[in-house]
Amino acid sequence: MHLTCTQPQLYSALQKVNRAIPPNSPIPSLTAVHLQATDAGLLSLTGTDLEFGVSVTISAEVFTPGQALIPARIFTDLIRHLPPVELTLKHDEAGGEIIQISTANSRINLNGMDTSQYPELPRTKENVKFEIPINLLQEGIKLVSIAAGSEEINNVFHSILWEIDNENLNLVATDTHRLAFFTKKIEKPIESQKILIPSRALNELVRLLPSEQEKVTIGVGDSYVYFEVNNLFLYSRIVAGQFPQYQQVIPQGFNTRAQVKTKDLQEAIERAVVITREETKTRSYVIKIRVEHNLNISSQAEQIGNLEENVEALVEGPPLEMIINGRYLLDVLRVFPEEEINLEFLTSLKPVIIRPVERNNYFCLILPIKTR
Amino acid sequence: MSIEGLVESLVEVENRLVEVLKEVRRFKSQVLALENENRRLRAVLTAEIIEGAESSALTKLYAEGFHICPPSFARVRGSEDCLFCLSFLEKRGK
Repeated sequence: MHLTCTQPQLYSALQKVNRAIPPNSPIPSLTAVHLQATDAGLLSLTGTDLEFGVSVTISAEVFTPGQALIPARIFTDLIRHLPPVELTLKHDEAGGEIIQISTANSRINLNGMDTSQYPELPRTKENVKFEIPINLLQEGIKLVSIAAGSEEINNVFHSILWEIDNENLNLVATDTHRLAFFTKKIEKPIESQKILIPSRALNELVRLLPSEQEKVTIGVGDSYVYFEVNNLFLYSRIVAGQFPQYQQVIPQGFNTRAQVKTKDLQEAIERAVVITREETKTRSYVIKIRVEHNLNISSQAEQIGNLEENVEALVEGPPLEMIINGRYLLDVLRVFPEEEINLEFLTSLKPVIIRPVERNNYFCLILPIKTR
Repeated sequence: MSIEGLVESLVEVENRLVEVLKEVRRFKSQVLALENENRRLRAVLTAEIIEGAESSALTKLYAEGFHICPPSFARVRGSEDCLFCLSFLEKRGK
């Protein structure tokens, strides 16, 4: 392999690819970045932990096509510290896996690894292929990923359910204590599908997708799903397992509803959580919400003190009290872009639904805490 | 130690590491196979227990801190309630 490219382009690509590279792995080649230079004047950089992978292609002047496998951390650090000039990457003429990185003033020799040890990305095995607007995907993932679990043993609850029923894309996540649902009509009908994608991969996708592009191409295979836009290719393993029948836990209707300003409620809950956070081990950020003429928020901790606040609300239905995990409520309020939200209560022991006033394609429900 | 001796030792260590890696991969595939088998058995067990069990037995199991909902049946639940277990219990109670 022998090529020249610019430092800013290479460093930017390395930053993206590094999102998928584990710092340590029992398989040493996975801690490396894979480089592939082609006759077409392209250099592809790839990183993967086998569950999730990222590949970025940049333009380069390729003199000799070829591939290389270079330890990612040290390679990235070196490129970061080089000036923004053109640089040359080439295999050492003496043979072996040594890669020379040179600019006008510096020459670095890095020991590479055997490229035959590197896994191939599952690029061409899709059963279904379609396009989806990037902003729709980014919005949906951002809104539902707050409810995906992080500590559960069951992988299903670390994932986001990706469900297409001909003309709607539904995204659903739950950690069994709360559930978030997002739906949006897609322009062109797509073959129905239901898969589970790790929330980590989708969160990385949101971070890496270029906002200036309109659409991302998605391919779904038997065990992998990939996302492709321009020079970026990201794939993820599909999680095996059965997502629970989530429709069954969504309360139908409400008895009491409170319409509040998102920011007012968020600020009050932030303060209430500060009081309870010292007692998190036993009390899970317990806060009390009383709905009557307004929304009354209170929290207390024996060693710290207590708090009580009124948040102006438009209330319909009978008064109601609910004990809830304030941290879960905050997670929802922080991602809501809308100014006003509705809190819908059936009873004080049934999940509360939080949804925007102005639209009905997203909601999050939270299970209350039972006082024993 | 001479350079040749050092290289020989390193090659030996490398070979051992390759063997260890092979073992790790073997363990990994065994863990995956066991996990799949566990999932299959859990599904069978869930179906059998749920069919035959009294609601009170499931309520007791739930109160003792275990999931009784099909996706997580018999796994430890912790102190927080589970949406799916509660929904399942409610349906059974009707």
